Amino acid sequence: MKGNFRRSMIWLHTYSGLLLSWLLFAVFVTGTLSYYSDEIDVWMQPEKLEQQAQQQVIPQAIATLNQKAQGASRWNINLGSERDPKAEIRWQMPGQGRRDGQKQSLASTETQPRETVGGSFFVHFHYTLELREYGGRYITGIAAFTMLIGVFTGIFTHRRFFKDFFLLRWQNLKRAMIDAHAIIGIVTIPFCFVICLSAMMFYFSLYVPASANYHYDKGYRQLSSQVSPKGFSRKASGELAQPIQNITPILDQVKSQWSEPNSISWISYYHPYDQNGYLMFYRNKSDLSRQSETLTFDASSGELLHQTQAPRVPKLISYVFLGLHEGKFASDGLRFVLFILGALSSALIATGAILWLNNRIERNVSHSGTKLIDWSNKALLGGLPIGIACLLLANRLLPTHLDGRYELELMSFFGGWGACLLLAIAFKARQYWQHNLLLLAVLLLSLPLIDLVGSGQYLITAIQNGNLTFIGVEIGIVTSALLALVLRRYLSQRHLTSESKSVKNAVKKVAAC
Amino acid sequence: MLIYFAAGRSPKADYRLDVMTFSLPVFIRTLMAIFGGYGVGICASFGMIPVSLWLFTNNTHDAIFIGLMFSYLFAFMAFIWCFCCKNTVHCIRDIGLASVTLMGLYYLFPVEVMS
Repeated sequence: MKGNFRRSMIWLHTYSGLLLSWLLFAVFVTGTLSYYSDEIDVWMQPEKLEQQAQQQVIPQAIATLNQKAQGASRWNINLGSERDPKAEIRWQMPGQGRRDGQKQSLASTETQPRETVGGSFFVHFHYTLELREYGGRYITGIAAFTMLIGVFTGIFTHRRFFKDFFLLRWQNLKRAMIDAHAIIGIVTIPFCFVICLSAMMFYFSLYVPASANYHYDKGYRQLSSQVSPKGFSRKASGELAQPIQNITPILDQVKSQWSEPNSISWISYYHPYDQNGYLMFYRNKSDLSRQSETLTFDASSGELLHQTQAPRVPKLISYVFLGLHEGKFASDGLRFVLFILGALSSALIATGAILWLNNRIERNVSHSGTKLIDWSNKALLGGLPIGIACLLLANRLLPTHLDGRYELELMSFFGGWGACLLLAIAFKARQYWQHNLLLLAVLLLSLPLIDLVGSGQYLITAIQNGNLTFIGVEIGIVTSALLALVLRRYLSQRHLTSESKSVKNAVKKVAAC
Repeated sequence: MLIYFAAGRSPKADYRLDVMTFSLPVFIRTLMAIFGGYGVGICASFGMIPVSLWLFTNNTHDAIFIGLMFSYLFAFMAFIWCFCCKNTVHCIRDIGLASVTLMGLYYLFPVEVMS
């Protein structure tokens, strides 16, 4: 097409990257934050700092459910994960779906935690883009495929792979960006490859449904149940019975099987008011595979009914890829490395989009396309961090017991981002980035300040309690703000191209004419 | 006629990014890569079922699942191939051949699903 293989790969790298870079940037940034979604969740509900660790949560939850959830078809107890322990009960009345049941937190203090989008917002946004019903997951699937293409073709853009890797020219902004793009690109090849491939493996049912639909009446769902190990389910018998009162013998059995502390993450009690009622315990996972490990007990007799079996190899491969994507297996150190790799990948995508434009500017190419991309770079790359900062700020500034807090937080996220779309029209690139980074730093630095001197004084409480999770998130916020300031200072000192060079180019052009 | 035109290679062999002219061969390749690549992927999810049954497993359900995983690999290879084969006619021919071969495999060695 363009002469040889390498050239066509460079062409493909340029344009596939350009088309979806902003979408990929949004997905990667929020996805990177999702590694710490549990920690951000703790940060976004600071009322929990005052709650003491509870003993005997499960018996208390069962007692509360006995009072509040009479006649329900299912009781659930959410105990959260190792990093974000919870005590929450949920129940569904007959006929209610999984998503529209009732829930209540079992707080030990009077203050209920504030309503918030929580850290899970980042998780959901990064694969649905808040467009779950409108094909958001298709869009992110296409983005993942494009990123794979970008990673593969990116390898061929290097003429001298090793020389590029050890080369970093800080002095000139354009060269610095080219070298940074190359180095980060090489470092993150394995990370991006695994992340993008596993991302597509989440939704076989959406992306390649044809084969499953052809072979099975119920499509992918039936295929999935055939390749996964058999789960347990039992219908209600119709004979009335009282729900379980004393859960301790069953808990002892669970403890003998899963010896680690906080081993249970979730309990489901099916048909509590029926003779056929049974309890399903879900384990807090700490290995690569994403398969949920369960123990099922009969509610009336307390005997073990079912235990999760290991899957066969094909499904295991898929489970391991999904587990790698979610990173729930990662210990603190590895989680931090994954976070840094995610952040580097976001930087890779951002520098890629900016490089395309800079190449055009340098050659004095200017048309509606470059103007549009100039605007998108400013608005979409610069707007997302501002949006996130606005979301965090709204979490702190909005009154705690306001109605519709959830929607207001969402609006502040999109509002902050939307404001940047307008600002990007008003300012030229150089000015815009100066203002944008300063604004970002100010917004982020105000967060720990509010926690320090605001009405809650959560930071002080966290330091007194020695809550490392909360303090860690604050340190992360301050570090990001400082990084924004450093970048701002760097950008103000460096020029895109030296002035003498552009004069030389102009002279050359005149001579050529 | 259209295909003949598409096969013609650009007289400018040199690599110039800033020439934003519409080029029919590139347009056809892009379309082939997106839709043809996806098509090859879907065909692979069928055609790799008998292959998986020979090589990897005895279980039909597992073979169908492995076929789904292979579909991504084939879609990816087809996508890249559309941009690196010699000329546009070859690109259309190869995508067609790959799809026909994979679907042919499936119809020659049909699988029965016992659910």
